[in-house]
Amino acid sequence: MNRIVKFYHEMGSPPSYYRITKHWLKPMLVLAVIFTLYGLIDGLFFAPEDYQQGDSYRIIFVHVPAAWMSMFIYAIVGIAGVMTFIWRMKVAEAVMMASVPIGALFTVITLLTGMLWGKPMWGTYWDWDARMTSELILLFLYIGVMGIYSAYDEDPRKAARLAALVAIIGLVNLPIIRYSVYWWTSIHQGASVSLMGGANGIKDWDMLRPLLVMALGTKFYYIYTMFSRSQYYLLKTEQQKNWVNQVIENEQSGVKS
Amino acid sequence: MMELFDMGKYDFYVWSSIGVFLLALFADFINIRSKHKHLKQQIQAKNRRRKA
Repeated sequence: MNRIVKFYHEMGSPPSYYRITKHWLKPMLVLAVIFTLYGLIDGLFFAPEDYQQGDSYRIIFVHVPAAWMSMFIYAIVGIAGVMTFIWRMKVAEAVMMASVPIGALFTVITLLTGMLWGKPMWGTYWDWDARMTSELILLFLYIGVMGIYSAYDEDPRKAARLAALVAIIGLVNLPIIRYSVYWWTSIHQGASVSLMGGANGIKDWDMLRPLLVMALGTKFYYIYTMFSRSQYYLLKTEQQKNWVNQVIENEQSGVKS
Repeated sequence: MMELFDMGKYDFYVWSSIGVFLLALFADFINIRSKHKHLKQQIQAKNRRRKA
């Protein structure tokens, strides 16, 4: 069997998923800490000052990676939602529900740091601008997915399918957030990084480097927290099964799997 | 030394943003660790009761 197909099937089984992801937790956390510390130090102390915004632009090094993660994680929630809804995969359910809290947290960080950046630049903490409003709707979507799941917690499988449905419907908000600054008149600035090398975005490598490093740091942290929460989800929802008891006993006696 | 942390007139906004970011991620990290610990203790206790 093709190795990728074999890996896919292995990752679809809760015990194998738990065993494989357990080995990835520490490396992901270490990488997240290293990249985040490097990105913050580089961005705060070594990146040059912006000629228009002065030092206030340094908020970009936490605001933009958090905003990227809020949308990236929702895309993962949506894809896992489709897999949960159509194929009823337990691991997809776990990934979806494990991603929602950290996605919501990144959305909160985006909104708060955006407000703290908006006050000195626009003179106001909040404006019902298309970008800010659609990001706030994203937070409500995350809360909605969590809320629906909690409302049916006596039947986790049904809860997950209903939560998946909400997540799938919410996917429509992602292109709205992304293109809101182009579709509507907005006080929010355009894209910070242009993949196509267009006229928009940061050009100075000394500013771009810490931003990209922070983006990697937040990605690694997401992988850590998603693996960790999905393991928690599987242990909780499968605690009647033998593999869970085996895992707990092995961990207690210090046996390596 | 204090010069290093000087962000001009934007000190409050920049350092609050960094604080929000770090505090949120740290709180998330602590939350996951304690939830895991609590659940594992719960399952262990259940296993012990079943064996007894």
